[in-house]
Amino acid sequence: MRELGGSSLVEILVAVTLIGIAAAGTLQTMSILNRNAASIRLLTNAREIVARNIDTTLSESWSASNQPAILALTPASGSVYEDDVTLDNEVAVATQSDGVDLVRGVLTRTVVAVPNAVNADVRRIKFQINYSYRGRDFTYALTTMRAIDD
Amino acid sequence: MKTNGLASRSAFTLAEVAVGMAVGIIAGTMALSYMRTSAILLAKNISANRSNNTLRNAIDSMGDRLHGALTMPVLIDTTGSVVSSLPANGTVGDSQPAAGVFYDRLIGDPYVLIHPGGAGLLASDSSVSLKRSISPYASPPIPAPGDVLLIESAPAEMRPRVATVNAGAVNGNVQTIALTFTSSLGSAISWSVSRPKVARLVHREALLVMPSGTRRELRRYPTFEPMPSLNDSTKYSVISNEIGSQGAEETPFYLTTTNAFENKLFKLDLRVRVIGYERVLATKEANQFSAFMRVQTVIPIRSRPK
Repeated sequence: MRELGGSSLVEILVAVTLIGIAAAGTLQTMSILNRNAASIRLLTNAREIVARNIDTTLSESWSASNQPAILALTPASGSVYEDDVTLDNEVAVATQSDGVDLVRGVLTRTVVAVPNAVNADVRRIKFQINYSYRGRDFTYALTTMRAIDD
Repeated sequence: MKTNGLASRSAFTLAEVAVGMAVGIIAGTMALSYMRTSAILLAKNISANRSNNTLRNAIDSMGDRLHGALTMPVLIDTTGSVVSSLPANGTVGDSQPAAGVFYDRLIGDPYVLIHPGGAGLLASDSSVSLKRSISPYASPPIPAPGDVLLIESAPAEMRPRVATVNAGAVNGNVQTIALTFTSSLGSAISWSVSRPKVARLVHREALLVMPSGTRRELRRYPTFEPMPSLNDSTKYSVISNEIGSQGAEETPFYLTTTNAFENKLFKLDLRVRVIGYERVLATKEANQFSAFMRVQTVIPIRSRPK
């Protein structure tokens, strides 16, 4: 009749341990999935920040007598730029429902002249944003070209 | 006397039952806690992905249409009325935010008007003939009823709306088309026979955030001239029904002037709140982190905005 007596303590402990490991693994996996989803959402925000500045660059009037600030030449390494009103050298990457900025980043603008045979005023413009989220660094950049309207 | 060998196992002692119940309760609580945590994580994950997907889909859908806008979008409210709140000329700043915009989407150009004789088209004329190229390299489409023909004229551009279309014969790479308008021109359009008069074809569309129950919908009205009944569901398609309904979330569109030369940009401040897990996540996420998403961006239009 010993066979009907049930599982041994060791068997139960092994089973509980396996179930615990599987459960912990599942929860950790879902937590990682959440973190990745949040990172992807932030990347969407970062892309839009860079894209809106590239679009502004391409949309501004630019003549010999009127050079928009966004098209002014910078050092080759770029300079910090912000398109909001905070004047703290940062831009909001993610703003939550109560208006609090969850993640902020540094936007860098690089505008350099492009030499050409006819000496036209042509510039290469690059916007790059750097930000951190949960201890990891992220970067997104776009580059375009622009010629003077004159 | 024979005895039943199982008699000693026929029941549990009170202590055994108590221990068994305690172990069962602990195991059950752990299992429920695990399932609850899993459900919350799953709800957060779905909400985070959906809010991202909803927002990107909305921006891409609007961008797809607005990239074809021939002129700067015009801000409107939920009645379709124009919101005239642009910054004064020469000033830098944002307009008042609005619930929607309408814009003329370019269908095709150029169309060459056939001179009707005399000085040109009369104010009482309600039809015109024109030619279009059918070359595979440049072939604006045949106009359709509801399209609007933009004809440069002084003092203002004319915009007669097409009522009927009669596509005529093809001669080489050119097709002649007769159009009738929904009304007479109202003003004469004069030009010399020796100079071609060209027109462009547009179609007025609108994007509008409208209330729908307790929430807001971002709708696209494919025909906005004349303005349709805004709540007739056959007149619009829903881009997203997950637009927030708190404060400024109802008015995501605005224009901004960027310098003293009156450059204007069309800007979007779009905020979405996904539907489905509001109760589950009500107290489980700070600032509605997973279910809420906001993007501020610029949508360029076809012609450089000025």
